[in-house]
Amino acid sequence: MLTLQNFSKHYGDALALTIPSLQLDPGIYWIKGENGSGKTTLFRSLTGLLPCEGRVTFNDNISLKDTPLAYRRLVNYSEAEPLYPDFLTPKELVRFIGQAKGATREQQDQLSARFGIDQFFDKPCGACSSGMLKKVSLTLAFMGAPKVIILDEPLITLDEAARRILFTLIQDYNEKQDVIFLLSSHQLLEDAQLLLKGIFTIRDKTIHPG
Amino acid sequence: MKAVATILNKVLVKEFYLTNATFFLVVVGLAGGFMRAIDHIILAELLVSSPLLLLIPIGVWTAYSFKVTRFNRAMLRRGENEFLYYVSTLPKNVQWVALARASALQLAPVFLYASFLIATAAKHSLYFTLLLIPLACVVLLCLAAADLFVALLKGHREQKLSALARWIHVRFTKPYPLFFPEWIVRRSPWMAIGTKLAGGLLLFGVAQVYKTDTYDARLLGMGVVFAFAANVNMIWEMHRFDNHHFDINRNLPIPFVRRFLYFMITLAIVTLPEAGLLVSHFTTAVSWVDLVGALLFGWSIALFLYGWLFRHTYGPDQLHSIVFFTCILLVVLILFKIPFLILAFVNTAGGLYLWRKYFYTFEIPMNEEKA
Repeated sequence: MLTLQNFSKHYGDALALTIPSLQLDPGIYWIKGENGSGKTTLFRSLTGLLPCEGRVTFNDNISLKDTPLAYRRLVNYSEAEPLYPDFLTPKELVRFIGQAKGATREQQDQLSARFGIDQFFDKPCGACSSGMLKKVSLTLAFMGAPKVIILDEPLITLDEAARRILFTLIQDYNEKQDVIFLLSSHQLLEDAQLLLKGIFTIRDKTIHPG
Repeated sequence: MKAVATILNKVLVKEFYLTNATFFLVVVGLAGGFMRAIDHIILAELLVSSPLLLLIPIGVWTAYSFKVTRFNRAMLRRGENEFLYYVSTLPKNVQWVALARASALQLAPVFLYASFLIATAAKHSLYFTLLLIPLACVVLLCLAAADLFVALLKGHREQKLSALARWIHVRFTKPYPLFFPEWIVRRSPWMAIGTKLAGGLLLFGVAQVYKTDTYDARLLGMGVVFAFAANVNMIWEMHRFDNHHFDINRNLPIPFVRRFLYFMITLAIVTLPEAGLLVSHFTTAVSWVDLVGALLFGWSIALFLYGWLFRHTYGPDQLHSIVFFTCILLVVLILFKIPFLILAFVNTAGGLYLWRKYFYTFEIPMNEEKA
């Protein structure tokens, strides 16, 4: 269970987001909100990319602040518009991030093949299209043994076949490994045949059910 | 035409002066604070007295022009400035006039000092110099405008891989400590070369002094302070690479010890020229203990600056003042014969403390572009 208590994020003195309390059991959650409402801020904070105030814990004993390494082993993230250094290849990213996340070589290769990024494994990111980079980012988000996977706008720039693969993976990880998924999307996720456990909307700098 | 000029003025010219405000303040401060009017005149007379000496200001102007072109290319790489590529669809003559105008405004400090030199040369009837200075200015202006023209023309072209690059990519997976060295060589080659040249020349100069005179290891220590502190921009870029451009790194469960190990390997690669010079030129001048101490001391300066950047989200220009005072303090401590190993220990402890304490709370300012 992912728990947020007295969570808040400021940019300078300006409050960006505050969540007094939130508990998420394993399942797939759709986080909605207008542009600039704070979805990405929430995601980046939960992933440890941005510092935040309050308490974020997994299963009560693994905390973003107190046990940062253990927490980062469990929480993976795919950005809305991933950007990697031009000269790195998907293979180099998969090997480095896969190793850091504790993914075996077999898992790295399987996930890469699943999303088809092994087709352009040795091509520098600078020569990859935005769709290709999106697939790299999604592949990286499933590396290791995550318990929380946060996917920011996972459908943009993704082709139909890759979308189907993504939905199958989400369903598999959720059913077999009890993974919590937080997805943001401006596209309708009900049509994706994903069994949503909950829908939240971010507005007025906080999160609301529904 | 007027619209293009306005846009280029706002995006390139105004931003260039705003970004480099500290640099210009330092230059003005040095010129006005340390030199009297008569000193400036004497210096100008010396510089125009021979074509060979004239190469000094021309060299400085060339370095400044590189700064301008580097800035322009960095601005064009920013996502919000992509619209500037539309300039390349305008008629060629309109483009050239607009780009030359913008470049001329950016090179204005060069032209100002050149005018002063021209006036000095005219006063002494040095006709060859009178010809050479405007010629250098025109060449630099053309080069800056041409660089901008090419950058706009070739924006967003597909990256093509050579057969060798493909072969390397297939057979070799780059480890993390090599990420930054490749990044910096591709992103700011002139900065990398300039830093290595400056540090290398300084240490080489110190080595030459040891050949003719007898000094203890303190002279080497002072050389090491400035040679390694000259890497300040590299350290700033390394910090930004690890925590901003490749920020997924911050989501990875990498233990601190391994992060430190990665940092040290990267630093050793980046400072290989300085380390090589120390080993090859100072073995007879100072003892091995001092030599090893000096190398560790040099690395510890870089580590301290890296750690400092987690505490303060400084830009490179702001960091320069910290480096300046750190250097002065370290030189004073060296003069008081504090051993290198102790200084290295203090710097390392300070750097590691700041890094460890502020790593997870550190945040890049929102206005900083990710590349």
